[in-house]
Amino acid sequence: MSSLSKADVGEVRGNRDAEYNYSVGMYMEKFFKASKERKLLGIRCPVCKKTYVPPRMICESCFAETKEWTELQPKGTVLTYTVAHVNVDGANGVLNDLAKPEIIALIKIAGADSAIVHRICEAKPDSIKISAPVEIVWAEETCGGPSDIKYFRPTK
Amino acid sequence: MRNIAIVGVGITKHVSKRRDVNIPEFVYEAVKAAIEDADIGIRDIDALVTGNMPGFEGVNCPELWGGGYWGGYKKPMLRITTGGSTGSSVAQGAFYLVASGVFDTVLTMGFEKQSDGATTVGLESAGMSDFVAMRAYGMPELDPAGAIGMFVFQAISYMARTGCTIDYFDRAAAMLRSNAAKNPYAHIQQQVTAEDIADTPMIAYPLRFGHTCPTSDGACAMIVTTKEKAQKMAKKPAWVNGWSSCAEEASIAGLHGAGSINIDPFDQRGCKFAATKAYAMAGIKEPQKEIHLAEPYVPFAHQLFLYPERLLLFNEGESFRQFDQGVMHRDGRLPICPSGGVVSSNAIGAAAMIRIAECALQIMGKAGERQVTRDVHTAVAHGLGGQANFNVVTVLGDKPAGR
Amino acid sequence: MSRRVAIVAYAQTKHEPDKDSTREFMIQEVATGALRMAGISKADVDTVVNASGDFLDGRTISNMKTVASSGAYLKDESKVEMDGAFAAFYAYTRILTGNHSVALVVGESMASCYPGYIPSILSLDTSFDRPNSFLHEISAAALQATYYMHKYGITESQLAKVAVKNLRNARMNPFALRSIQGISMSTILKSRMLYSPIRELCAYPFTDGACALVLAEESKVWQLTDKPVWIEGVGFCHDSYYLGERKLSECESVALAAKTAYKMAGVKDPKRDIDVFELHENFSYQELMFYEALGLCPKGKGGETLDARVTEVNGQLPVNPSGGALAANPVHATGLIRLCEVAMQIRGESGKHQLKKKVRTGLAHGQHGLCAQDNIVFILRGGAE
Repeated sequence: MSSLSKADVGEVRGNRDAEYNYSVGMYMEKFFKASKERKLLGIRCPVCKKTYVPPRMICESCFAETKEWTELQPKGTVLTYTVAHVNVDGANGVLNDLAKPEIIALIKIAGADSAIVHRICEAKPDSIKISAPVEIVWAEETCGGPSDIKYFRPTK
Repeated sequence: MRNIAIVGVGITKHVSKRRDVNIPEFVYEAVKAAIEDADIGIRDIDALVTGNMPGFEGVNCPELWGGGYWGGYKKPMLRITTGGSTGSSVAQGAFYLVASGVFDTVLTMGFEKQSDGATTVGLESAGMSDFVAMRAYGMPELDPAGAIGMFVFQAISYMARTGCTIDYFDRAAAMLRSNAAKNPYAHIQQQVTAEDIADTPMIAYPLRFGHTCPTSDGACAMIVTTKEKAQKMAKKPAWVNGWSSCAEEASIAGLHGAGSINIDPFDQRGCKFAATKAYAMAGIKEPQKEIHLAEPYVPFAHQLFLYPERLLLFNEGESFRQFDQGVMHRDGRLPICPSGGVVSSNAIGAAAMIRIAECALQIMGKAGERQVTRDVHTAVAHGLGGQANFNVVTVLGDKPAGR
Repeated sequence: MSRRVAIVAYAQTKHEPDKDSTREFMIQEVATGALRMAGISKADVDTVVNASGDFLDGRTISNMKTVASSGAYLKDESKVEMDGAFAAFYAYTRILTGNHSVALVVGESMASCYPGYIPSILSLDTSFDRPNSFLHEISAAALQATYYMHKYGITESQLAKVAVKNLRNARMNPFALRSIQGISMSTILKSRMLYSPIRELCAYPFTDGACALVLAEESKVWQLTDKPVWIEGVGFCHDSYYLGERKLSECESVALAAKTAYKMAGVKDPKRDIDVFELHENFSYQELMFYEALGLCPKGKGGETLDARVTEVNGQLPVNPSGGALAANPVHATGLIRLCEVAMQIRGESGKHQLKKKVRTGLAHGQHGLCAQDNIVFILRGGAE
């Protein structure tokens, strides 16, 4: 149907900056101010009493505004995990092989009813088990952003 | 088909930047307001219909993240997106879901948190898909100046064909901005004169800065329900009696040839077709006589004249001639955009829904300081989207169409 | 509801990794194909509903440039930015109101033109998950798969077996993208491990493709076909974004969607009342979870059901005789293809992958979001009236 071959089509490449500037909102702002101090904050729903971390304004199942802030211990247990042998290239979305497999996990935070997706380091991939206790390793220099939680590691 | 009505409306105060909320929290404000307005609980909502223009926030399908914040947990949820007309297409989705009998009460919301994103990127990716169209409007690749190129052509064409002059646009903008001054949710609320508008810099002749919409963070939510439930939820429901939409072709490049949009964006046949169908559905035979209020989609001042004609409220080329008699003013015979219109508040995903919501509020008598002087028994709302190739028309009334 | 709506015609492209085509051409191909099958022209179409994605098409308002190619010129057109089966639902409600008699539903995407897994990453929460970038389609699926396997003792072999079944089925489907000769467990288990336990062949392929359906209301149906496929039931449901708050070992939103669809269609026992299932399984483990969510087997028994060969093409509950999403997954079209494939089975038009048994009732499923977050289930019926 097309009489053009790919060789006939000219290509002009260039870069376009797309500066997005996301507001985190007051709840995550408070969370990050605390993470800068190496503290982990959660928030509770007044109806079902569930504690959410990272904190958010609404408890979905109750459709209620959360109220009580609470400081949580920077540790939890592995709810589930996966060993990554590839990662997604941020430039073009393809999968690149990883030189060393990495562990990504859903970590249920102690004292909370929700889980954080993060990576587990200082551990061999074949040693990770569901329910394993893990703890946060904070960044050497915290800045009040998601990078403050550097990774989780198995609790000794 | 069942009779349906709007029983609750929530609109956020539009501003340039809401830094204190993220996207889900922001839309929740409108949802909360609509639910409180209808005095119902989230359990009364059977389904949700939502939409926005994702290119502007750079978040793909934000209702996946935010749906639970808006009462969508374990409920049916639909996403509809059509550009600037999104808000009206989303509302139309809610109309179909209720009128068809599939759901009784639907919560619908349109929003845009433009401050989170790069507006030019959102617009460019519309233009970039069609280089030939961009070139036709004189948009350079590296810095497309936004949607204004096409609307400049539209404004010039309107002037050439009808004899309208730029001073009318100045007066139109002054009226709209002054209307917005009485609207607590509007972005630009300025009591201004035509001279103030004429003093603003020219962006591209004949459109001045003062004729042009802002970019806003804004959200709107509405509750749509059946006749039986409406009578319990609202003292005076706003009945949605007619609706239609019409798509024209925008593409120049490619094998489908040029569409009317790019030949002459003044034409807007789609608006006439959609209006004709919507009026017929609502049982309106003479819109010029029977429609009491209009909220067309007017991001640029010249469209205050163009779209009411395309909505069959004035003969072609006649609308601006009646402007100075005060016909379109808030105390006039046919008030147009008493809310201040899109030229005063433009959060893209919300703007077209707000046109419907504002008509509903006027019919319900709940428009506060911006309530128009005359009795409003019927109203028409309009949404414009895509490359001005989507027109969506909604006709509301204070009585259900006899179905 | 007094009005009934049927699928009267369909068309799909040959799904390919990199089609020598454009989005507009693909849309035009399936739109004209479906109209031709119905014996009508675009003049007979009252409304068009598109399914496409701005981030996948790489342009804001992706459907504004596809008006002509989808036959929507000067028509009442809209766009559902979700899987195509949701667009079919919207078209169905448009017809139910009586405003429209004939609807065309079109869905497409060209994975060869968008950056792989990036669009799904762009749907994440902007303050935490997205800057961290650990979460995307495959890692989320892998987290759920690990949990499901751990809870119920599902094995990697069972995950691979789903892929073998579906990709073997796909060999009989001329539209399928993946057509691997001599596919076996060993082929699957040798494929690249992505995120444990998910291997490349247990994940959907990036696909260029499109699909279109023509829907009509009852009084028009018999002018357009003598084998209408009636939409008897439909349900859809949104689940939480937060994986840690979902019941990870189940697909609750599939179960809730199916519950509504079953009730509407009068399905009391899906094992007895439904002849064929076309499920949108982006990852092979999902198919096992869908068996459970749809009530085809008790919780945790998805693997056993597969082992008992119940869901093979000659089994009692054939699932994905077309090969499913593992064989071809043009995002936004996939759910429409499931509807199309069920319609084909009911009409006896599936060619080499036609089931031997008589098919009167079929279930078609579509998903949207990470880990099958939003799901839609249709019950279709046809055959002897």
